[in-house]
Amino acid sequence: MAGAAAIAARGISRARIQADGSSRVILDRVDLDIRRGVVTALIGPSGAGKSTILRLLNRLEDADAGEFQLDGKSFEDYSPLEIRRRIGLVIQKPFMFPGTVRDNLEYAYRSRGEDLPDGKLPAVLDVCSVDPSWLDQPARKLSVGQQQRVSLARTLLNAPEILLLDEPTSSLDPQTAEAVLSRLADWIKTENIGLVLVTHDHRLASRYADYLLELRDGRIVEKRNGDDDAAD
Amino acid sequence: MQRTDLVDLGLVDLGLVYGLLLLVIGLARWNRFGQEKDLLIASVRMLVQLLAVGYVLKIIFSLDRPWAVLLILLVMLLVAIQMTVARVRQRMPGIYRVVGGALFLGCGCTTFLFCQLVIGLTPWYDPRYLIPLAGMIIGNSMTGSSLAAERLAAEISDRREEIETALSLGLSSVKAAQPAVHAAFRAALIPTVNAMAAMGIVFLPGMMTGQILSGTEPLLAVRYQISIMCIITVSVALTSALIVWQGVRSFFTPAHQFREEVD
Ligand SMILES: Nc1ncnc2c1ncn2[C@@H]1O[C@H](COP(=O)(O)OP(=O)(O)O)[C@@H](O)[C@H]1O
Ligand SMILES: [Mg+2]
Repeated sequence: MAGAAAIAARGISRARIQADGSSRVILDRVDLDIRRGVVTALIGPSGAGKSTILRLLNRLEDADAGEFQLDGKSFEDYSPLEIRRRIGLVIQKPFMFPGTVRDNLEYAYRSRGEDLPDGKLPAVLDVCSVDPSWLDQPARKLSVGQQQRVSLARTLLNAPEILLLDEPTSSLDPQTAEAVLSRLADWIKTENIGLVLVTHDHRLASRYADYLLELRDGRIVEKRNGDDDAAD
Repeated sequence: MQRTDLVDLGLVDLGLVYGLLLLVIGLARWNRFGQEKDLLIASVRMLVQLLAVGYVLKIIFSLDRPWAVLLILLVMLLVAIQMTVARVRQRMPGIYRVVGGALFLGCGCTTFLFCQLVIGLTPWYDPRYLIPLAGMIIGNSMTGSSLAAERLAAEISDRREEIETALSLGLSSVKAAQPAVHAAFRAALIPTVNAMAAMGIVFLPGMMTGQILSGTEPLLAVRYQISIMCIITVSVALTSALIVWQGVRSFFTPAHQFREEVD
């Protein structure tokens, strides 16, 4: 159990039906380890299947073959809702629920009949560069870049152990992107959260990644290894 | 004070009104209004269908057997299920099971309640009451059902991003799709609510008109109309609720994922 990966994916395959009705293999027997407290960056050309991997990890869909394990137990042994809670996904295109920013941040808690834990909010807002003055504004009035940060905060407040980010800075200006990512990289280290950062921006990825993986032609290629313990 | 001296309507009288209709069709053709073909087909359909129904009812009334009444109710229900399903344009997994179960339960329970507990039919299957009452309940529930199913499928496909975002945060599929469910239920009830509100002002409801024509005291006819309207609303609401609650589940797998074929 070297490195004690939080998530171990083995032999993951996924095919998709194309618009013309033919089936295309997106992921071809992919292996993947995700560790807590480090940034695993996943790069690859558009259409390579990066978003698909994140959806599989969040169990929004299931693989055709292969197995995912969380802490040594198969995904099948957990309820899908528990998986989604513990392995949080922030999709690329932010969706804001009706209501204020605060309503959005409280959304998951309220649907479970719980209250948002008070203490965490200011820190999370700070990490995500969400200005507290937005809290009482209608969420859909925000710009896409602002919504992207609110949706990051919304998932972070849900207290995931693994955080999956799909192009989280695609609508942010370079300064804000740097600010969010550097604070996030610190945050996940203190909170011991595993971060999977999907991006097509090599520079951004190599800057923050402890592990840098590239998805190409359905396979994962390890580009660089931060700590050298995963090879065996 | 029941007057039963209903004016007889003979074949000659029928021929006369049908002649008037044909005259209108002729005028439409003469003026090239272009509706004469549809009018003609519709009028022939009406003639054939109503005559057929008339004979079927006559046979059932004279048989006066529970199985014959239940058989005709079953046929009405199956036709309603088929028509509901045919009206839904969007894809909906397991639509026959969902719509069939909802109409069967919704209409069955309300018809039974109304005929047994409210009217207290003796015998319980008295076709003179059971068939027209069930017919009104099933007909209205059919309209509500198709609206509910159609709207549910449309809302779920329109709200895909919203639902997946909610799912990704760990909500159950039923919770994630709740806004779609509520919108579909509201849409299903709109015609019934409108009909209730307009009743007596914009139009005189058909059942009440019929009862008054056949000599029923107007206030009794009104009481019948109010109670049938209540039970119709209950049935539409129950049927639509069953459709949206069962229907929403059919869009998702037990693992709270969208079913592939909905893509
Ligand atoms: N819902 C879908 N239905 C069919 N094909 C899809 C769907 N989503 C993505 N794809 C296809 O799957 C492939 C991988 O997509 P994706 O995982 O989004 O790639 P990436 O995120 O790396 O750009 C692409 O070819 C895309 O067209
Ligand atoms: Mg993508």
